[in-house]
Amino acid sequence: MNAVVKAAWAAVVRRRVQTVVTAVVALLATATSVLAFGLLVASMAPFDHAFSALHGAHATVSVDAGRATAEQVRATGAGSGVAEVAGPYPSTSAPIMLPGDAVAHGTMTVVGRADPNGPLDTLKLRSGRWVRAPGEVVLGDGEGPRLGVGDRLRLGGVELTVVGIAASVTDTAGAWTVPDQIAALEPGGAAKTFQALYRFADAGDSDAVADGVAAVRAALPSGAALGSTSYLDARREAAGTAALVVPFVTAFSVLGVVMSVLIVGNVVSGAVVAGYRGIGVLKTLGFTPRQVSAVYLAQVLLPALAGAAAGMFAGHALAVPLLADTEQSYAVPEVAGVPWWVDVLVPVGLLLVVCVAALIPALRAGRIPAIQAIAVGRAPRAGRGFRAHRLLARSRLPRAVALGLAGPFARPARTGMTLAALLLGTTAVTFAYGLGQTLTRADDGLSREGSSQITVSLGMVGEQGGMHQGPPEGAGTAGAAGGPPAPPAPPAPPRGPQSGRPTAEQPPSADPVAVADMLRADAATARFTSVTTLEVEVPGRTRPLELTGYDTDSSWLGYPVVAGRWLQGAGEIVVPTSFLRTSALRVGDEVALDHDGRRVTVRIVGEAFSSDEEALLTDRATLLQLKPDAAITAYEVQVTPGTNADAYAERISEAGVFAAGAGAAMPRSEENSTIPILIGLIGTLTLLIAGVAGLGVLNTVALDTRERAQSIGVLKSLGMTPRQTMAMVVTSVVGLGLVGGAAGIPLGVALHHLVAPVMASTADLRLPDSMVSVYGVPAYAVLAVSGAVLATLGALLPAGWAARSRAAAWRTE
Amino acid sequence: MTDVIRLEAVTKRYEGTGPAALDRVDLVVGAREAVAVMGPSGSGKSTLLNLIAGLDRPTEGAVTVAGVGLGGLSETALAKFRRRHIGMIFQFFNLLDDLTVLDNVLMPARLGGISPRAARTRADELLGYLGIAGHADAYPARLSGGERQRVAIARALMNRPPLLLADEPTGAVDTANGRHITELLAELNRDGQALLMVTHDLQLARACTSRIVRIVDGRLDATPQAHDPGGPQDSLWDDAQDGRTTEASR
Repeated sequence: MNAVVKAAWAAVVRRRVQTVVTAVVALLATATSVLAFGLLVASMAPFDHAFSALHGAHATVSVDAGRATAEQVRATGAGSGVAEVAGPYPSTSAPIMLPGDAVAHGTMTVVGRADPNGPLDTLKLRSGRWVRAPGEVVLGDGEGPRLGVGDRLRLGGVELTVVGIAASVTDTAGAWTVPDQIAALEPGGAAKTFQALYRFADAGDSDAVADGVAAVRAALPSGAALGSTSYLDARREAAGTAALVVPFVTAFSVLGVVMSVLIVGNVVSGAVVAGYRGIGVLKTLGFTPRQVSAVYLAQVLLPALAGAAAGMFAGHALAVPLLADTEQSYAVPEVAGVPWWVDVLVPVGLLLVVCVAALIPALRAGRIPAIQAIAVGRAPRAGRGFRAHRLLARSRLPRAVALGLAGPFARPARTGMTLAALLLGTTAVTFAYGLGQTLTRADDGLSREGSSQITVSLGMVGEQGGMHQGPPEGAGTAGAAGGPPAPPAPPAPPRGPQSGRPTAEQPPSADPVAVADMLRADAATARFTSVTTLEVEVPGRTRPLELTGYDTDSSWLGYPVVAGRWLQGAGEIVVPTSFLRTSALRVGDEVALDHDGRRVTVRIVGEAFSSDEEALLTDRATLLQLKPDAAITAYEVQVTPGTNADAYAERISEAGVFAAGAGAAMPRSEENSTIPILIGLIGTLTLLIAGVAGLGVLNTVALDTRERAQSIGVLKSLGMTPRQTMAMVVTSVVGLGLVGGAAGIPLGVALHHLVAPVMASTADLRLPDSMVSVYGVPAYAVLAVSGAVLATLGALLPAGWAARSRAAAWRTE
Repeated sequence: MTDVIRLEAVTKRYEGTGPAALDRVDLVVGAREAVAVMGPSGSGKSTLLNLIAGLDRPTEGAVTVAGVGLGGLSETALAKFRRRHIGMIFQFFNLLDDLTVLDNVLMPARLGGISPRAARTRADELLGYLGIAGHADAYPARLSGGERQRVAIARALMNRPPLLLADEPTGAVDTANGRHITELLAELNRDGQALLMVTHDLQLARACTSRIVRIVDGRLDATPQAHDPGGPQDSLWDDAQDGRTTEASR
């Protein structure tokens, strides 16, 4: 065996701690980097990636089957600007009910497709399988009631079994059945609508898509095209969701990569420096400087290579669930996987870092005379740390602790690297804690579950029941909902269930006074307010907005106010951040609201933290100035502490005030899939980064302990107990941990204060102070010791070795 | 007799204008000759050894070993020169802890490109000769000081170097092992091995070498090198022997 290989391999085999630490650090660093890059790539235009991968449709067009034949629809593919057409698929809009339910869960667009892999809009099966026969249905991911494979539901009065859950990149339907099933869902027994999917030669903007749709309409018989949806809507929605995550992923990824580079550098250079004596010996034997460098490079490259290879697999394994979560956070059926270049870039980059980190001290060692290398290899340069030793010796600290605290001063460069690792580790932990708190508070703020737990929807005339899918001021418009024999709503191209919430235009079926009396009479009701909604125009804006009027005392509703204050009387309005931004208005300005020829001017008194960009909040009296007969559409209820919201809602729903089951009380709990996923991501990445930092400390302490073997032997022979030895070794890094912690906290807080508002602003939100200033005194206290805890955890193992070994063993080192 | 070492006006300063560790030293050692360099701590003995081994470079003057001027050699050329022409023995052995005894001994042969079979034969021969064949597969940490030094000697002799340099070779071993090593070195020299040894031990110097060179404050003592007991060196080194385990300065 070649001398270089022999010497390097012997070191790899015999220096187990160094080998294992180098390999594990390389593994964690590679896994973290693969994950970080994978997430970053997935965060870059996730919709565009999914749209391309699943061959999404630029437009979804609903066609009246009574006015156009399937052949005529197919023929539109030859139209000007039409690149591709898929379908036509029979479709319908059907009310959704669970077996035994009297209340419909809104309506849903159901499309008959024999194959999920159409020429356009490939559907991604999340679970189960595709439909094979009538009686089966595949539900859209996140659509309708929360059902799984094997569950049963009724669509248009027909009971079906859920056989799969699938996702469409542009949400072309809420559910899919075999084509023959659609006719059975229609009251008349025949499909009345086709769904056709199109790709256009040019679909870069909304005008281009509109031109394409116009060409399709022109190619169809007059009046056959019922409606259309552009992929740009889904793209806009997905972009908003992705934008929320990107700053966070970027910050964590950069932190993870920097941390990995730093720790790998520390571990590798430490290993080489620890081998100075060996370098000297090799030189006396006739190893050339290049051969010496090769030996030391190889002895860290070999474990690093193994670690990097394992890390790639670990990174991919970790990326699978995290990217699946990311698909949900980005609201797309598919995100880009870890690209091939990451598998090349990360290990090559890591090995490059290893080479550079090893070469610098190895080349330095090559320059100094062999005899000097032998001499300095055993101990730090004489004189270093003397002052610290003297100073601490005079302190009243136990001797072992004083010796430990003075230790880092002997190796300033290594101490600096370890300090940097601990600092970054604490920064990551601080940042992660802050972000977690902000996200949790933002989630609470958006859902307001702490303040208002129940929505009592009054239902509207003509419907048999309504189930509220979100807060009353939330998105969604009224639509038909109900089981047979109610006719299905016009075939709306887009998906899913639509809320059965009444509006001011459609009077409620339940008596608001009776409902209010019932709520007042229930002992579990703490407070409640009526909710009245009205579509209003704001001069200068092209789209109508939804005005929500509450009772005068509504401050308890729990809307976080970013600026200004909550409503205190008539003539006041609270608006979301996005409204102020798009209207170029500020808190304190006045704004006019129009409805049906009436106008009121209100003063903006507050900026609400709300994700609903079209929701304007006021008091009922102000709303009634625009429409004096506006009916109450719902109630929001705060229940007394300890009340089970589900039981309360059930009790209210069954109280008999809702005629023919119209209306219902529902807990307001609204699951936000993004926040828990983000918190999961934060936890995973923080653990990885903290693990890398801890390993860096372990390596440093292991090297120091070995270098100080003789001193430790002497101290033990003088009577130092194992416990004192352990204390000395641990305190040699605890001080660094405290310093790193103290410095890392402000950095983590600064990073949080930088990233959190950016995350919010990408979602068109502005964070109130309460969501930014999340670090209280107890949090600071815990975070302050996090660096020391990391350091202690990293030092415990080598400290244990030092404590257990016998003095004689150290002496012979 | 051909010279194996020739030093001409060699000066070594560790700091630019500081005192000289070696000051205009001239020294010639012939092939097959054994020379002991003695002197108090800090006198420049180890510096002299390091310059001859090419481990350090003189500030002034020329060092020629085995007919090769070391001044013009690069670090790489020096390393290659060392592996062919010089074997070194240290007070504290300087074995490679990660390698077995056999691998330690084989290492110079591996570096020198000697065929594995020839190298193995030579290694077995040396291990047998030095009485450590039974430890071939052991790691140095398991051996006694004397055994380690014998491994170091075997390693130093592996490539049959024309010059063996020894720095306090018995300084870290007990009396019995010291005696054994002394006998070994003497025997090697009798077989023709050139030897330059730095030591505080006059008995070792007398037993192993034919000439003693005194060095004081970086200068060679010009006094004729008497090797006879009771000569001028004896009184000088009686004091020095007290510090025999002290590592030689510079």
